[in-house]
Amino acid sequence: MNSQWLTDEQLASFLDCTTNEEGMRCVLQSLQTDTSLRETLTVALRLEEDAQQQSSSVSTLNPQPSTLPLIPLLRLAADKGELPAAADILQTRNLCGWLCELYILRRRGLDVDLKQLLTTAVDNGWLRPEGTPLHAIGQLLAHQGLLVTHTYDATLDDIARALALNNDLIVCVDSDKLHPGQPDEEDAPNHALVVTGLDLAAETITLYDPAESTTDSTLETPSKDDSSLLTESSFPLSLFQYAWHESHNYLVRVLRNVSEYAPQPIDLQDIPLTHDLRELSEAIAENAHDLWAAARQKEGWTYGPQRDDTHLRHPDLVPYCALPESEKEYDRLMALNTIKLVQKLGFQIIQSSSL
Amino acid sequence: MMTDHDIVQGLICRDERVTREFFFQRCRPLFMSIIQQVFPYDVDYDEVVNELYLYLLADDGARLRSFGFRCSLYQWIKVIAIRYLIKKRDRLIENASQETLYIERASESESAMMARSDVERLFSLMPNQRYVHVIRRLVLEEQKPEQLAEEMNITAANLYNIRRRAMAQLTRVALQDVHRTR
Repeated sequence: MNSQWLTDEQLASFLDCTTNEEGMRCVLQSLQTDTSLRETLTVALRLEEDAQQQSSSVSTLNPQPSTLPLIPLLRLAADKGELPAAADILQTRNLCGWLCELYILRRRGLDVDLKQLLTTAVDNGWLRPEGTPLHAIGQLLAHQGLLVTHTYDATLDDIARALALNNDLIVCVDSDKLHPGQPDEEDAPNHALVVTGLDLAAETITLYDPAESTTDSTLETPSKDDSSLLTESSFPLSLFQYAWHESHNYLVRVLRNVSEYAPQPIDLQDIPLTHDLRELSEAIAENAHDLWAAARQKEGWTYGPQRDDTHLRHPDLVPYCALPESEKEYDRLMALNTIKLVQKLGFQIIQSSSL
Repeated sequence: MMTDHDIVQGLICRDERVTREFFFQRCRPLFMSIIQQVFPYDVDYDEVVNELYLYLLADDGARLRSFGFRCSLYQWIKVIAIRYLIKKRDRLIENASQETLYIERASESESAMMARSDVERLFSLMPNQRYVHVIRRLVLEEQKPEQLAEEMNITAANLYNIRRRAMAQLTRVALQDVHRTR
């Protein structure tokens, strides 16, 4: 037998494990006699192993990614495939983030129309079969008028302080690490939980786990005082921290009032910038100023030596180069931090000439 | 986000944006890695990839039209690229589309199928028996991935990763076995 008889799709299906018994046996049999197939699969295996290094062969403006302390823009591991209709999503296993939000809404005594809530989440892309982006968790709560913040690199002290203020908290974890009995196949956040208690002295944390307490029937016939939504479990802090670490200690906090808002922007100090990226930031800064000025002019503002909100005069309605250095610095800082954030979240900026 | 169907359709219609973004941008790191793996000498990247593009689109996109979505498009392109470049290196490029021929001949291979005992022997050589379980259920018993994920109490995304790793381990074991027995 020769691998020439194997179609490219049969071979790709074998590697994707979407083949059938005949296809698998055909590939394995062909391997014994076909050197070209052996080389093809050897190359495919190397590519799989070297996947992380592939991007380094592309000329980029960035420092080597492996040297950066990144917090990639993660999403909860979930089903792959086409986005199903809202009703079908109930059959998927991707609901944990959404259920945590539902739990909080009910805990706050807010009446929710379950179907509408689901439709809103799906329509806005906050609930996806291919995995819910971490940043999407809490959007539904914000949509309901609650005050929500998202923080990476949060600490147990942050949790303790927030709980003391009676805030609601969602954390994202690698569930397999929280349950050591389960096989841990992938180091990635795959589950959302609500933190309901923290005992630093006893070194335990109490969590509401939607996977433990929710059934389809619960979803279909929701009830405010449904006892199945109140299941909570305590875990050793060390285990929790191990599991939480996979999401870069991602914490969604639901405040009680605006005075509790204490901005915690992502720490970008450890992200270096190349000379090229600094030049890029200057271009971004000038363009940001032009965008701002164009919008102002459209609203009827014109240049004036002093800001005058009544007569729509503004001293900064001048070309970027004529701005005071302090204003330029503000625009530059915004641009620089945006570029750094893009990198910190795991993206690379690639110059088109290298493509 | 575009589905594999969208991308294939875009490539067939020679949609400029789809072609650029998928074939010439997203696949670029893949093609660069394959070229590095296959060719022991420097080759002109653009020249090789343009040839590959023409190969893919030959006969009014017949190859693309034959894609049955039984695997991911990315994996399929990967296999096509590896095989094409190996052939190119070995100067065995055949211009005619052989996909139909391959399919017809594949059915002839049934009589020469690897014996079940041989597959079981390869399974026994795999260090991770959980992977064996996944292959048994998905490939031999043709269980739906969603059902298996639920049965294993893992997400479908986790299973997606596990099954690729499982097949990689089976392939590695099979290649080592061939090397040992030769």
